[in-house]
Amino acid sequence: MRSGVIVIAAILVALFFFTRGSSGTGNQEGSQSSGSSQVTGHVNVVPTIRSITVSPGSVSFGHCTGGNGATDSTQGSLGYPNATCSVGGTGANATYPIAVTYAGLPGEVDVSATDAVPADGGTHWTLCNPPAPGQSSPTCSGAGQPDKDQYELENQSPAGTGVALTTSSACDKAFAAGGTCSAAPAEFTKQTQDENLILIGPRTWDDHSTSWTMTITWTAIGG
Amino acid sequence: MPLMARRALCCLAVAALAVVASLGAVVSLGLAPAARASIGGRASIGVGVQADPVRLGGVAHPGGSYSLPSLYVVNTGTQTESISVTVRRLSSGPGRTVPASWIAIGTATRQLIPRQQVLIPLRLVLPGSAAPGSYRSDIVVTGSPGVASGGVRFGAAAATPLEFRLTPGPAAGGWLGIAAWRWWLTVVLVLLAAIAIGVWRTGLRVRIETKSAGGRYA
Repeated sequence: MRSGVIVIAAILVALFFFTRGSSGTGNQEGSQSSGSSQVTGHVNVVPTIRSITVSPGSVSFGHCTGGNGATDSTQGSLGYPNATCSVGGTGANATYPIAVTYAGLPGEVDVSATDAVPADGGTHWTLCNPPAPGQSSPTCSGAGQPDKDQYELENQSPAGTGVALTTSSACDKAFAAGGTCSAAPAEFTKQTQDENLILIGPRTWDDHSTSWTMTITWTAIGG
Repeated sequence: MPLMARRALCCLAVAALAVVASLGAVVSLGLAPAARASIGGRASIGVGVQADPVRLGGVAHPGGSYSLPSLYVVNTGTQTESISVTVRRLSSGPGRTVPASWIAIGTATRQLIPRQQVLIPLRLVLPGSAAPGSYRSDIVVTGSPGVASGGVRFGAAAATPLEFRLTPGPAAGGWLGIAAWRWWLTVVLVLLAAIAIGVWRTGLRVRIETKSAGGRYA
């Protein structure tokens, strides 16, 4: 009985000194002496989230050109057939007002778009792409141009790289240098790319709405 | 003379202030539109998810139902946005694609104010016919602003992998999604408690004593 008590007491004493010893080591690193001086340490750690932020939250197309006769475009309205509008303009005076920012561990940025929906919810304009090998979206059926109730959408970086958008997520070739979509922010902070958008409208369309909406989504994906 | 000097100094000070003020006006007017916009704070839409994959801790069996780690989501934009959670295969590589219907998402759509973070519960519900193998897909969280009419609406999405392994055999998950061993442990504890109460109510008492080597009782 007595020996058992002694053994338990010995274990408790050993544990007491062990815990004191552990905390004592930490204190020695935190202060130089028994005075009140202390050193505050900071450490940066790798991020544990992956995010994407697009600014601004919405835009409107302008800089419209093309069309034919009475259906010519005006500055802010798309004409037909196959007129063009843009966000940021094109050519030498182009600007790139859409900022896409990736943050977190290295990965890539994909982009996709939806059909254009008229204000009255009627017949959509289907997103189409120029004919190309391995094209997943519907091909524009108007001799390489959008046909009736079809439209085409492209994005572009200041370097001239870009991609014809599809309804399924695909590599945003405007995002990184060299026409890639890889995101590798320095020190895991942020990588931002400015982009613009160019829309080629249908040959003609059925719906009589004068306002159409489409959604473009950028997606951050792990590498 | 000192009065004249003071007046001159006053005039100089007033002139200097006027020059500084006008310079300030020139600088503030001279900002580029983009700079003014950034100072004013451009609205943005953004979403972030955990970088770590959502991974089932253990193997799954056909017909089983398993709780997955909750998904961390944050609104990184500057405006309130509605978020939606979907299961899609974005990443390439080996592994079967997870059918979206196998993942039950707790409150798949909700509104998040800027910087708001939420944990979204996820549950893996497997049909009895699920084929064994390694599964991999992505959980995609999409943030979008309120309804816009006309123009381009932007969305921001972030994806994190979803991974688990499925092996043949009966589902280990028991009733109400609680593992069978937990049910057994509960039953044993309840039985022990019942025995203890029964013994106590009979009035039976057990006295435990220790005896030292010298024959004395401690």
